[in-house]
Amino acid sequence: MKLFIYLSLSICLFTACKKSEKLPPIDNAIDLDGTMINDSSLTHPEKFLLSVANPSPTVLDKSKPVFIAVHGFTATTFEWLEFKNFVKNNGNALISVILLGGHGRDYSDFKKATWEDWQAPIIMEYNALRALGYTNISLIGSSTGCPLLLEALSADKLNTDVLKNVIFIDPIIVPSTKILTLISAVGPALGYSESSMEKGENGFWYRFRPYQALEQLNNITQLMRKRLEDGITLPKNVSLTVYKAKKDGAADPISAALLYNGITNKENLKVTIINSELHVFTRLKGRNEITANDLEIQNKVFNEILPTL
Amino acid sequence: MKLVASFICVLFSVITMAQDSIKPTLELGIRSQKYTGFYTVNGITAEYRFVKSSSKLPFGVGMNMTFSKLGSAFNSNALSVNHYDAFFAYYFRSSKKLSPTVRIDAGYERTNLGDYLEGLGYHNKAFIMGLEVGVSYKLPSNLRVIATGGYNFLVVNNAASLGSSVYPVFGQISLVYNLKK
Repeated sequence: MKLFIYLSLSICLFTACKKSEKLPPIDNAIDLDGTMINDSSLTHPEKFLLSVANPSPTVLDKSKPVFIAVHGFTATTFEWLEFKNFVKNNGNALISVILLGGHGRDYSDFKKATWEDWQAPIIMEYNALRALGYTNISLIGSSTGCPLLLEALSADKLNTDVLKNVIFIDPIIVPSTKILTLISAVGPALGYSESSMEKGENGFWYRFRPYQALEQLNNITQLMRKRLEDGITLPKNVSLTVYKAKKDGAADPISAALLYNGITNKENLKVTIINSELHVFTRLKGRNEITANDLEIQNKVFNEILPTL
Repeated sequence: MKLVASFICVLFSVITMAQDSIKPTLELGIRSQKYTGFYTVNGITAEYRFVKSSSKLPFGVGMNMTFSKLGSAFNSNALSVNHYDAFFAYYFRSSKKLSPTVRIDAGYERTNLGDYLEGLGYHNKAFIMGLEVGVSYKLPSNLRVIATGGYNFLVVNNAASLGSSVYPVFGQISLVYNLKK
């Protein structure tokens, strides 16, 4: 009898979990998750991707330093807008801003995409620029963009002969919410989670995070933790600069220590801890409050990055 | 701090009560603990269990010392994590071969961030309290195996910490040998 009760309870619990795949209350008029708002790079790729904007670069263009900027989980090209403008106004460099696969579209696209799908546009743009003859390429990533870049480097997915610098802003190797490791167990019952968003961020970040996407985030961060344990050796010609905010509600600052320990050729590595509590402190646009210190840090880091090319 | 004091008081009371009429028996062994999605730490465990005549009382107190250098950080680039805790265990059906157990742990974890980051003044130390639920199973030859799943419900990092390497959910397995049987 006891066995029967346990079995019945287990089956009820299991079916209850399976049926909780509910859709979030998306507001199509204002949420990026809906079907009406998409990232601008989908309709105007020439404004974001250098390979589309200039398919026939001159010899001078090819010798210019090029940044490929990669945003983080749930974000869009908006995350790198300020840096894009900074590069255009302050230097002789060029910039290509990537939209990760599954991002900037709608909830169902996000739910279906794997981390390999997120990563694919980075590799495509790098290969396209290399094929066009650019000889001085740098990759700059924020948050989840960083493990995606590191994975591509450590799995030899990029021919690094024209790659010079890799820059990480608040890389997520260990999430601040460590309970993420249980997402596969609790996700089906959870369905999705809602992120708190500031008013100016609405329409530029997904508001709802399906558990399938959180699972992908867990998979890529866990994979990179394992690879860092085994040791990652950067290509000889490539330097890695890591900027990590001292306090961060999304990417645990211990991520900087894991990167420092896990990269075997320390001569190619520089880690800087930033006195900030903002996740991706280089993006200030859309935040409710910006202090003079935030602006100073942003400007300092932008100026440090640009002359490295 | 109040929590630590309470925990020590409970342990002291149990030991004092036990010493009046009960003979303690010491078990020593090895412990392997895996944080979900993070490191494995291995080390030693010791537990005093209280015996009266031939029947066992359902209490035990002990301590664990585990190190990632004996686990994930052995011959790898993982961070060096040293974990020390004291625990109070309660055994249900303690006279049986298989007995469910509940444990409360309180301890300290020190993560070595490496010379560079420690040189910048970051030193990760955390006070941890956790709860474990699992089973204890008596084996032949004075051996006993304890398998539990645990949750660190309280993690307090020191001010000079750079984030935290303490993961909340873990599983552990211990194999202990009874020295005083």
